Amino acid sequence: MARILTVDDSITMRQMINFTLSDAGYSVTEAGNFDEAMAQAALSKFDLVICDLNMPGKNGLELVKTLRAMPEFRFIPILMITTEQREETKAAGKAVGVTSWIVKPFNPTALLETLKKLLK
Amino acid sequence: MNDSIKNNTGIVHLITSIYANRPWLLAQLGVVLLLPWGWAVFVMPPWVSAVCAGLLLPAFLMGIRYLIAPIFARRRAIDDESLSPDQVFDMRAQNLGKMGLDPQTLRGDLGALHGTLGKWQDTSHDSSSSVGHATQGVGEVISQTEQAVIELSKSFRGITVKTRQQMETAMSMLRRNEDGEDDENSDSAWVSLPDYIHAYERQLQEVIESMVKFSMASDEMFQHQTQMRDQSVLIDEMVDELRSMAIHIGRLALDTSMVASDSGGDRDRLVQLTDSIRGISDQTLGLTRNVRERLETIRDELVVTYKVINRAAITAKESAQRAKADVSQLNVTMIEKSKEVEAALTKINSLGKEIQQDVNNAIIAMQFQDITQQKLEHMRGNILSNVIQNLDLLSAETQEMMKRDIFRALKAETERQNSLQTR
Repeated sequence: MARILTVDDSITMRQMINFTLSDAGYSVTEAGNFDEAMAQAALSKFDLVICDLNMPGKNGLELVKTLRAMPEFRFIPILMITTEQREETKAAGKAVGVTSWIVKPFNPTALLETLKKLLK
Repeated sequence: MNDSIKNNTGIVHLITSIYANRPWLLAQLGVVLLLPWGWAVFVMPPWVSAVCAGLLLPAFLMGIRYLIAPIFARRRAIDDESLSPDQVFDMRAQNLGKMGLDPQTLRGDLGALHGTLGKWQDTSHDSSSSVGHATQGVGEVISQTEQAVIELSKSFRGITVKTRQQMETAMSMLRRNEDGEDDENSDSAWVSLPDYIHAYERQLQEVIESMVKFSMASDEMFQHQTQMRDQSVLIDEMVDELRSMAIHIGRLALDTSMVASDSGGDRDRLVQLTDSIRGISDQTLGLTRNVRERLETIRDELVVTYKVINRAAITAKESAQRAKADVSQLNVTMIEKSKEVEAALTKINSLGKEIQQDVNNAIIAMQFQDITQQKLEHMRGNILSNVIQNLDLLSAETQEMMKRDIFRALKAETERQNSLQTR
């Protein structure tokens, strides 16, 4: 069972992601912001990270950058789920190490298919 | 000296002010003063031109001091708190007269403007308060919506999990064992509906086979019983022969007895022998009778047994035939029922997929709600705060504006007129 870390400031969004992934058999850990995510990252190992772009405090790009600097998160897939869809923002995400980009609202089936591909 | 400095500073300030507000006025004055000097440059000797140039600056300053400054002095009077409202109105009236405006009309318009500014101040104050309430309301809406979505999400999750369990339970009825349907030794924890039907069919087949075997066995018994009856007829015949032999021996004994009485000598001994033979013959006859009676009893029993076996065989045959027909019919019915169940379960499966699609749609809808909520939060956090700040600023500026001399004068004039009317 793959372990996934979900980082989003919206509790509803976290629940929706958690519901979709738990139902498909993944083990999901939630974090509401940068600090919580870093605390979870220090505590456990994960096979994939899903994070939001716009969060209070440090945003998703800063989180990805920080995670990529950690040896255990250097090569794991990081999926960005956000309402942002400008090409320059996507390019900025790619530059800091975002593996894939999904625009909100996400389709649960599409999310699961993307995860399957990323976890292969 | 100080007055002179103050005047010069005042003129410089005035020139700067005029240049900022009416540059064309200064230009006109300059052109008027430069025209004679320009002409003098070409026709007069250089020293006369130099004197004229020297006189230009005082002329320029005097023009400003005596021609332009009074106009601006009257205009600046609105900010001069040392002037009384009446003086302000007189000064305005002079200018307005020059501009062709009726002071009375202006007073009315200014009154209306004052009233409008007052309303605007009140409105902006009220609006600021309303926006504050709206911000609070939006916050409550966001909080309540979030709570509602969390509760909805929990219920939603429970419903979907139960629906999935229900669907999986229903679908398991159609599932074969993992090792295949013919694997009879499988340790599977559950039996699917097709497996159950298959097992039931097999049991029925075994019952029919047993009944057919029983029928065959009863046929065989019937054969044996026929043979036994034949044997009993043979025994009967043998008993008849034994009986005739016993009678024959009896006759022989009688004849021997008569011969012995005629012959004398050993007559007594022959008579004893003859009696003994007759006794044996009588015993043989009795025994034969007994055997015949027993044989008749056995034959009767055999007849009864034959009847019972025959009846059982007929019943078994009929049962087997009926069971065979029933099983055939049952098989057809079961297959039809099985197909119906399969169709129903396929429909349940299809409904399950539709439910999954609905769940996906609900998840998307909830995300839309979340995006809307975040936008509302952004609006509450930034836009509404800015609106409140702007309204407060406008309210303060309006309040400041209403404190200006012109409005104070207007208010005093209104009060004066009111007091005059009262008198």
